[in-house]
Amino acid sequence: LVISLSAFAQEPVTAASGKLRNGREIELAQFVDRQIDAQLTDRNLPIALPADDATFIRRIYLDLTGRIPLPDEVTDFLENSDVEKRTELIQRLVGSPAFARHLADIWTPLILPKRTAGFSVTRDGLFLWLEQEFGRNTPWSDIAYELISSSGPHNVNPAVSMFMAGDSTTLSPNEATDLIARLFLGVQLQCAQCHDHPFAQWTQQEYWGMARFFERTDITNRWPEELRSRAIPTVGRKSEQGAWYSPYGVLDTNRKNPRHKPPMPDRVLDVPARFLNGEQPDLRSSQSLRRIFADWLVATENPWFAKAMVNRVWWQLFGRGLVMPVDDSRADNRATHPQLFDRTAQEFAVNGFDLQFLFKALLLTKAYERATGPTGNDDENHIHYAHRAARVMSSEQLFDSLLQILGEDAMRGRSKEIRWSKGARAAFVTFMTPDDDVDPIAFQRGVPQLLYLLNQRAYENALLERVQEVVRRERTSRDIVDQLYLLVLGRHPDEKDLTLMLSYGSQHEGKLEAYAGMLWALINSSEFNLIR
Amino acid sequence: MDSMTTTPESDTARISRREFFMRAQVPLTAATFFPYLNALGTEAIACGVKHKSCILLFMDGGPSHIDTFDPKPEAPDEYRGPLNVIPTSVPGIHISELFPHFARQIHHAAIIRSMSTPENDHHRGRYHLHTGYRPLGGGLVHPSIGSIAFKELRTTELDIPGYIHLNDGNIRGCAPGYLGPRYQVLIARDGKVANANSSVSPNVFSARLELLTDLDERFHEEHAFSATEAHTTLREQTVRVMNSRHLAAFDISAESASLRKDYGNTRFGDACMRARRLVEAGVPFIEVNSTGRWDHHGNLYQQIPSVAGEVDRGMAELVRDLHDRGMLEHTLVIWMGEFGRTPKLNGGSDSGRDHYSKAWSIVLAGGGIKGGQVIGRTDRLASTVEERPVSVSDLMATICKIVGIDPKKEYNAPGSRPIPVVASQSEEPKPIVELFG
Repeated sequence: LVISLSAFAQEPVTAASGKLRNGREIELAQFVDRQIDAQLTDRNLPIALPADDATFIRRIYLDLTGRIPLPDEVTDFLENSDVEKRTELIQRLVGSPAFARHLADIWTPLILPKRTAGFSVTRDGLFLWLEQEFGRNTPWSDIAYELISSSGPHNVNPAVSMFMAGDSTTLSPNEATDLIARLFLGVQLQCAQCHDHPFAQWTQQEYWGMARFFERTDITNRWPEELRSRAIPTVGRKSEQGAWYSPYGVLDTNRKNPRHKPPMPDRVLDVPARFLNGEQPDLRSSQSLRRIFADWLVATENPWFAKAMVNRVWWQLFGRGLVMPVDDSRADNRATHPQLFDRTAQEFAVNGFDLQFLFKALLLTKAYERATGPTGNDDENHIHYAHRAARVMSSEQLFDSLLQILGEDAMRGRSKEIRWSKGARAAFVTFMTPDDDVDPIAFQRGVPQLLYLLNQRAYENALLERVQEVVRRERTSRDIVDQLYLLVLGRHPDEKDLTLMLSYGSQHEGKLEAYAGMLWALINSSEFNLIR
Repeated sequence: MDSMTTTPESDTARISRREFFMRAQVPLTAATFFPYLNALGTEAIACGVKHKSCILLFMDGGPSHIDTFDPKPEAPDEYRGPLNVIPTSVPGIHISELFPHFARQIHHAAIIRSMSTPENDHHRGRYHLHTGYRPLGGGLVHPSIGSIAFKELRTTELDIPGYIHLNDGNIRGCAPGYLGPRYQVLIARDGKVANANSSVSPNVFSARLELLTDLDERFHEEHAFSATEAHTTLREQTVRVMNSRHLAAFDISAESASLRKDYGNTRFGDACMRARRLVEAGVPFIEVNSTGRWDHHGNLYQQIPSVAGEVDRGMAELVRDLHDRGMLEHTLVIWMGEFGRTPKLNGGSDSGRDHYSKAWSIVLAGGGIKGGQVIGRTDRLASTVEERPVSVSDLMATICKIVGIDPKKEYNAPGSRPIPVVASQSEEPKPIVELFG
């Protein structure tokens, strides 16, 4: 594993990525739009106009790089008169290092949810491995295959991490079943652990049949010395500093996992290992059970695998899944756009589970480009994409955007390192995200989080410093306000904004404090906290 | 999901935003309210109690039941251990010598010696005892009983959260789950609510807040997003917390030195005292972790006296003080960990006991229950429940009955799954009837 020191969010996005795949992204984008527009016409819903440039660049930066755009990136984009500039921006950002990092940011907590209790694994190794694989545009099927079937100590092969943390200290076979079903098949089996659901298609047979593939997965730290002594990768620190972690890892054994909690119900004890489609594999070969499962999982013929990822990416870009909840695909829970869903999943599979292809196709749709409108979760306009939903920034997006505005000193807290898995960023994210599963269009924070954001003492100095820089550069108060808006909201203020801000400024004798107050109000505003 | 996007708090909704922030301009300090707060307890009782409250004393790590509330003096040495048994304020009830102070309050308490639960792991046990459910995986997080009490019992007069955790140790299992972050626990480490004070002067803060309110109002006029509404409402609640007179409840400097001494002058004792003050302020659920951990796999008898000593004094004085003030009737005090410990000692002189959930003890006091009784019985080795097993569902149903929560009420979990307050998998959960008159 090549250990890259992840840079901070401020680095401008430069790397240009590959060209479109022979226009197949455009073809798929047009198909998606036709499907969406047909439903909108059927329902007679008014279609929103495309978002303006400032809204679009902020949206796409947050969606693809996890941070707001820098003022220069905004003004360059606004001043660019090329009619293809949005497509160019999409091409440039998909596949950039920041894109890989953002995807790793999204997938690390999905694979190792924060409530898990692994004492023997760090998130750093997994994060760096994912960042590397997303950066290489490794097919999603290969990434999933590695995550499910890898063996070895996690300092050498961080892809094993998923099996090293569960509600207890390891991932039991039933927890593995729940997690893998949700993430890689997009289905929820956990209810079937204890009972056959009267209406759903999954029974205890499916559940325990799948759990069988994970019952010979063991956690151990008994490795040859040359593997044990290898440093554990950590983000942003000298790697040996992480070496106090035991080099635990994952291994397939011949005996049944003794860690089976809770025990299997008696009547399912004799359920044989079988796939979700009912097929029973030939287990006589000495192959690892996890590999047998992974081979089936990532096969192009498995309809669930591609759909699960398409729905996740759709959810990331549109604020809801084609199936909701995002991981609850089943016969009685149909997609809002069944043909769109089928075809997109099919194209994703046919194009080698190429994530950049999938992202580009969805980003090139008119549906992605639309302006926002008033939104509630049950709102028809949102469900059918007549307009876009305003989403709340994730805690990672919020941290990286605040970091860009306020600088490292303000965001460092007591930790030396910001991006390390035990650093300031992780602490912020854990505290700001009370739930593992967040609805992107609901404001899911509470009083403790708001107290933090309103009253962080460490932000005060940074506010003044930032304001001083701007005041040194700009002459008129209008220009200063303009710069503050660009810095935080990524747009120029309109006349009403200016009036409001300037009248606030005129009430204060201390000019710097007045501007610091404006900056404080902007970073606490709803507009800043939302992705429009 | 009970999301933040709906139902603004009714009382703030009635006040205009501007009026609200004008009120917020008066800088309030805890000191302003000492006289008021001291009168608050008696006042609350005089004008009629609105709801009951619950103080959960959580014994992190899992205390040995044999060495605390289910001693077995007749058992062989390798079971009973070296501790003596002492009489209590109720003839016939004996407990371990580790609890001499609490022994004098047993007439207020019910010792339940027949807990029998399925989880033997700290994390899973903690989750089970806080939520009443077993960890299920699949991303579903059940709400803790504290968050449920917050949702069901908090009245609008209280402007701080209805679930407060008074020290910062382990808070696993204390999550609001599918009730949403609005019902999350507020942590006040040693009585301090983090970030409760503005980092600028009160005047500057309220000027900034006014600007921010204007900004958001403008934004909301143009884009009627539900998230903006929720954000603004939450900010109003947060500012109410900052200005709340109830923050004075965390300040125990107003309490007499002799009373503080009676509580033990320890972190745990101070937390118990704050818990009583928070009940006076109207907080429905307060949780306190024991300062020491009870996870005594080894060196049990070297370590347990100090861990237990702090708890004994704090909880005994808490019950006595609550009773003294006429508050015990409407305040349930729970002493429990996540499980008990193996009846048989595991070694020689540095011996300890391991995790054991098949048979163990908890203690309830106050809340109007019938005190001075022992419920359930284990065998002569304290290893199996011989009489009246109590499951976590039974315990949750009991707590609900005492504080006045409907155990059958259902909440919507993600995916529109209705899930009841108290789990009823195989059979109907039964409140412990012996506790009720």
